[in-house]
Formats: sequence, C-alpha cells, structure tokens
Amino acid sequence: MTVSAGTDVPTTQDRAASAIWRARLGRVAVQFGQLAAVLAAVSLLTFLIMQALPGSAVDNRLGPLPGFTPEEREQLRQSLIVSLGLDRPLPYQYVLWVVKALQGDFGLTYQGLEVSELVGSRIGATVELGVASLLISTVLSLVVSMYAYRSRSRATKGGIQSFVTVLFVMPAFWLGLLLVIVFAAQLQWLPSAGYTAFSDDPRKNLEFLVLPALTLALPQMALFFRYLNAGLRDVSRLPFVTSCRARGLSSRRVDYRHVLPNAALPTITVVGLVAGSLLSGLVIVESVFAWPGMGMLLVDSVGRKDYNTVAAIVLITSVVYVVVAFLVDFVYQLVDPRTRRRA
Amino acid sequence: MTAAPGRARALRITPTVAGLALLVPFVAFALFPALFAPYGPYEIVNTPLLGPSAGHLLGTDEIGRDLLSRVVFASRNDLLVSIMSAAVAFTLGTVFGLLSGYIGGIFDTVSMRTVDVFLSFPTIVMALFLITVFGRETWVQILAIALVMTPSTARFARGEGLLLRSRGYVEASKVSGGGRLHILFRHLLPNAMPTLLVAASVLASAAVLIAASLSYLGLGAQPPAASWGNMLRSAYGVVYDAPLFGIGPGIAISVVAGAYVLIGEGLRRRFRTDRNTASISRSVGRV
Repeated sequence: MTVSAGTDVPTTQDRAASAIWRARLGRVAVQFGQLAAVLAAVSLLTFLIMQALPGSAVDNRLGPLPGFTPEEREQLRQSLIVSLGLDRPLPYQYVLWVVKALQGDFGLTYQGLEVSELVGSRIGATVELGVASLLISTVLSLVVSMYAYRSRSRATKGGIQSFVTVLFVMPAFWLGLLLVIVFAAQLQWLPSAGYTAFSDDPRKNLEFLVLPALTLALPQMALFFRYLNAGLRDVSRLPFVTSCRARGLSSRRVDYRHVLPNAALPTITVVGLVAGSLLSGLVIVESVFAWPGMGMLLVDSVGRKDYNTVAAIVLITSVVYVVVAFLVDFVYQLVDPRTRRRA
Repeated sequence: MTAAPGRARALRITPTVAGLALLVPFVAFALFPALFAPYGPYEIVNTPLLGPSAGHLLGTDEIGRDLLSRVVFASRNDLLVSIMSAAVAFTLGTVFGLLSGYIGGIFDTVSMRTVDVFLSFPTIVMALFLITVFGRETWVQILAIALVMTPSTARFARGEGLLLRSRGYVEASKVSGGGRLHILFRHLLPNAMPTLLVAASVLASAAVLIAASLSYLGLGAQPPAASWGNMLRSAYGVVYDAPLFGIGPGIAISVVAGAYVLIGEGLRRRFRTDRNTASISRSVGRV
C-alpha cells in the first residue's frame, strides 16, 4: 500500500473507533429487529385472541333487523362478510387488520362509531392522570427515601419501611376507598368521583384529579422507594463515598450530590417500566373514580362485548409498553456508560 | 453477634410464624365458614347499612346481610383462587423456566421471546381479556390469573436454571448419562427449591390482589356470592351512608396478601438464600 497523504491514512486508533461504532450500530440494529419481532408477535396474539372471542362481529353489526325475512337477513350477512373481508383466509385478515391499525383504523364499535375516535377522545384524560401520578410518585419517593436514608432514628426508618410494605398489599380500589372515606366522606375536602375537562374548569379538574392520582401514585411510590432505598444503601458503601467524606465534603453535599445521583440511576428503568405498564393500574383506578380514560373505556367495552375497541386498547397499550421498555433500555445505555461497555 | 439462648430462640416470632398466625384464621374460615359466621351469607338479618355494633361486628350491607358473615364465607373462594392460580403458575413457570435455562439454545431463545410477548400485555388487561373470552367460572379465573403470572415466573426460574447448570453435580450427572428430565427433577428442582418457594409465596400474594381486582371489576364471583372484591365495590356506592362498610373485606385482602409475603420472608431466612425477598418480588410479583 502506497501512502500518498498522511492525513487520509486511518490510524490504528481510527480503525478501533470505527470498529466500536460498527459494533454499536450492529447492536442497535439487532435491538430494532427484536423490537419489530416482539411488536409483530404482540399484534398476532391480540388478533388470535380476538378470533377466539364468543359471538361474531358480523351479527353484532347487523343487530336484530326487524322486518327482514331470514333469507334477506342471510343475504345482508353474506354481503357484510364479503365487504369486511371475513371470507378471506386468516393470514390475509391479520395483515389487513395490522395495515389498517397502522393507519389508525380499528374499525367500528358495535354502535357504529369509529373506534379510533372513541379511543382518541379518552387518551387525554388517561395521559393527564398517568403523568400526574408519575410526577407525584417520583417526587415523593425521592423525598421519602432520602429522609429515611439520612435519618438516624431506627424508629423513623422502621416506620417508613412498614408503611411502604403495607402499600404493597393494598390493591388500588382498597387504598382508593380509604382515601375517599377520609378526604371525601369525612373531611369533605375533595369530590369522591367524577371528571371535568381542564379546558372547562381548571380548578375543578384538579380537584377531581387529586384522589385518583394519589391512589395510583402511592403504590408506585412504594416500588420506587424499594429501588432507591437499596440503591442508596449499596452506593453509600462504595469507596468513592468514603473519599468524598475524607476530602471534607459536608454530609449533605455527599448525600445529595454524590450518593443520590448514582443510587437513582437504576430507578430510571423502573420508572420507565411503570410508565409503560400504567394501564393495568389505570383500569382499576379510572373505574373507581369514574375518570373517563382508556382504562374505564376498556372495562366498559369488555362489558358491552365491543371487541374492536377492546382489541384496539389492548394493542395500543402493549405497543406503548414495548416501545417504552425499548427506549428505557436505550436511554439507560446513554446515561450509564458502564452498560455500553459490558454489552 | 451473640447467640440467643435456646429458650428465647424457640419463643422468637419469626416472619413465618407471624404469617401463619395471620393466615390460619382465614384457612379455618375457608374450610368451616359456618362455624365462625354468626349468620348465613345470603340471610337478611337486619336493616341495611348499619354500622359496626355488638350484634353485627362489621355492620350490615346494602340489603341487610351481616357483613362479618359475608367476609367469612368469601374466604373460601378468595383463598381457593389465590392458592390454585399460584400453584398452576408456579408449576408451569418453574418447569419451563428451569428447562429453558438448562437446555439453552433455540429452546431458550424461543421461550424467552414468548415470555417477552406475554409480559408486554398489562396484567389486568390480559386477565380481563381471557375472562371475556372464556367465561366467568372459577376455573377460568384461576387459569387466567395463573397465565398472567406464568411468564415472569418462568423468567425467574430460568435464572436459577442458568445458575445451577454449571454446578459440578449437574455436570457429573450428565457425564454419567442422566437424561434431561432426570437432571431437571433430581438435581435442578431440589436445589432451586428454596429460592423458588420464596417466589411461590410472592406469587400467592400477587394472586390475592389480582383476584380481588377482577372481582372488584365484576369479573370474579358473581352476586349474590360474596367475594372481598365485590364487597368493596358495593362499599363505594354507599361511602357517604356507611363509611365503614369496606373496612372488613379490605383488611381481609391485605392480611392474606401480607401473610403470604411474611411466610416467604421466613422461608428465605430459613433456607438462607442469598437473594432478598424484595428482589424476588420485583421479578415475579408485578401486578
């Protein structure tokens, strides 16, 4: 190899760097591939369970049809089956369903409304409640775990631990009931259930928001607390903390600037996963507090046997979960360089 | 640390003892409800929505049935569902997970990707879905709850399988011609058991909460049959008239779920597994 200009020649370092980049890109490609595969499987499973549902979509759409003879009804039925593509083989129907879903078309509800419009009208309320609960639980868990960590009193630590443990064995509707008894029925500070859009009356909207958001947030807080607590304990034993102390930093500075950020790092993953799987909690909490979001819509649709809506919500939530989990993984690799090297 | 004297040791209240003490009354209620309940579960005995009194320790419900009796009679269904579904999830998850970790290769990849897919459906949503499809009978409930808990159990057991795969006795058994099933049942299972039992108790606790949530949503025991979840649902309707209505069933749920957790914690200390209960419940007990 003849060398003409020194600047163009890749040095060993350059080569190593580009190899690292190639490896990194390869890993991202593999991760994207896996993401796509899981998404495909999730949609396939949803579709298959839909096929197993009792009752047929066609009969639901037709309704009772008074004044039609059985022959006319059967004719209508057949033409509907053809127009919906239900006479085609299952794989074709699946692909059609996925393609339509990607375009935001989940078909019609049994009342003839667009499923996407119905679900879309509920997303705002769900996002509001979900975000509010995550904010409350994140802040609370940071405050409570730092307080427990810095406290010298065994009684305080033990008290906080037992409170958190109790939260783990309280299902949302039971915790919610206690909050309603205290804050709505006895103290009469807040309404027990209901919803007003923020654009209509911001104050009322927030009053309605407090109890459901707290009901969701407290168990989340307990979960985050466990991680933070374990993280704080582990990090506080690392040598760099001793070195901070030895250099004469105040204990407040050591705790808040050095221990906490390192301890909180793994908790990011949990917060992300909880955010992705919020709908499980929302199903219960929304129906407890009559909060018109996607969770309540899901329960109502199950009751009405409105399968297109059920499938749409199940698909949307599981896709959100998978994507959020993927992003969390990705973000984590960005914030914590150690995980990059290990993989 | 100084060793505790023998007598004090025997008297010490371990988590297992505390857990059993909490659970035993409910097992007794489940087996012989009529011995403990002052009235029948469907018997209308007084005016509706009375508060707690000497005659009705927990008060009466919206149509005048004795709440204590209904809490007692509900134990049978709630305990049955939680124990059975935990047992099913435990069996399936353990066998698949251990095999997956031990065999590795394609089998492992395929089963773990399947686990991923199932885990991406929110728990309650998946259970709701299954019960809608297959009906509201008790056995469907048990299987639905078991099915949503199986994937995380399998993933957990897989970790144990991986851990044990390289142990000397497993290698030795393989070299001397032990088959896969022989290794699974004679070597992997017994050695993974302590950790797995702790996981089982966490599962049972999660199952109580899921079962209660489903019957809260009206998908569990159908009225007039009593369940703790559907009693709490009624409690919401009358929260201004009878604020204490839901306290009994609510405490029952928490006590039973807590008892399972305590028993698990006790088993962990007894077997001295190095994993802590919190980390096990993080991996298998996502509700």
